[in-house]
Amino acid sequence: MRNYKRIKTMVSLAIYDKHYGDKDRKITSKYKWDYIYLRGLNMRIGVVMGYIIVCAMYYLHKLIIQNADMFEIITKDTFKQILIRLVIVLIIYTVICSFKYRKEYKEAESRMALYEERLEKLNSINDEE
Amino acid sequence: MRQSLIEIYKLNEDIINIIVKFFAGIIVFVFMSFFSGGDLAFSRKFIIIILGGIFAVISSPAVFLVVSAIAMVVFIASVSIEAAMVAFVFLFLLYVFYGRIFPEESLLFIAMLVCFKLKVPYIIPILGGIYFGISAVVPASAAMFTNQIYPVFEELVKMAPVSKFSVSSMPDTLFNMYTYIFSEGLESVSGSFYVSVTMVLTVVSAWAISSTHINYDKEIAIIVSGVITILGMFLAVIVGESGFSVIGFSISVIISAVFVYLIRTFDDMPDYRRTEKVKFQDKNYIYYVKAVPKIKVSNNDYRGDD
Repeated sequence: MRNYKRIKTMVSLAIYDKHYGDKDRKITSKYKWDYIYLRGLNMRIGVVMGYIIVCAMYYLHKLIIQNADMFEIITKDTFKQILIRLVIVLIIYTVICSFKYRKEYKEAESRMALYEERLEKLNSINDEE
Repeated sequence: MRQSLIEIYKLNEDIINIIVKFFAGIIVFVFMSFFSGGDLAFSRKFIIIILGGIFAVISSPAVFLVVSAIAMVVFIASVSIEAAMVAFVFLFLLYVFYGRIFPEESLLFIAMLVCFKLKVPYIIPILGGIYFGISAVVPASAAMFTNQIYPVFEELVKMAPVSKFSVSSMPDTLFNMYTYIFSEGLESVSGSFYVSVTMVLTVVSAWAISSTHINYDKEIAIIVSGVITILGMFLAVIVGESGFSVIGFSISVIISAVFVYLIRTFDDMPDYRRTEKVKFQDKNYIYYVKAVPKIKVSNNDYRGDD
């Protein structure tokens, strides 16, 4: 029976290693807020690039399709609007991502804790033998 | 039969996963190659097999998304360089605004585009709602929108075939494409807004019902979301003037729902007749637990000390 327990614990450790091991170790090697900040920073750079493309397409649409006057478009207010919208978009994405990455980190942390617990269990079984 | 198939799968999980991923990759990339007119020259077949192999070994959905997007752009570039640039911008925006944050869910986008070719696209929003939840809304709607704008894309390819490509005329061609997309192009697909909203409703209904934990929740979710899809598409045809065949899509929704049900039967099938409700408590909480046993569990599974 003791052998059965040991095999079962080892199997669960192996399954964990196969599916999550490397990923979880990579995540938990950083502090929680560092992880969230770094992942969020990458995401924000991408979003800013995407936003610039969408803005360019929008104002081109105004100029080409709606035949708007270029000098009416290029004003201080326009740039202010673009910046405000960018900030709003970034805030929305920051909130979504911080929830998602925080959840990711928490899940990795709890899986690692379970892994450690099982490892200790395995050690105690080995000691008993 | 279901039980023996599951047992075979469990015994050979690793090999079956690699083979299935390889063929799934081949199917995805073959459908992507249709963007290049479906002409599978030897070199293209070779590229598809290589890409299928890459898909079989990579485990990261984000990497698969990037590889798929690059493959799509390359296939399009073989018929029109300028159309490939437009596709690149579209895919880039999808990736930065959604794919990077939700890579697993984004695979639904690719799967739905493939299912459109197989005439059973509604599998994805129903399955997505049940297994991925509310986050499946974006890929299902985006795939529906992409499928709707496919005729616009074909026009773009006709506007600038690769045989007439020249670097000097490229800015003019891109300008013409832009004008076409935002004038005639978007007008011709105005009904796609309604069908995209229908996909949102399908996913939300499938998710909401399957999370209620009532008996037969998943089965009810499949039926209700199927009915909502049919009603929504009727409205899209009547109000939004979408160009769908009413009988065709109704049959497609029913077949899709049957497929989802079949997939569901290979998931853990609960036996609701033997449902048990138990209540226990500790120092801080009272727990109300509803335990639904799986239909068929071999006796060997319960041997041992657990």
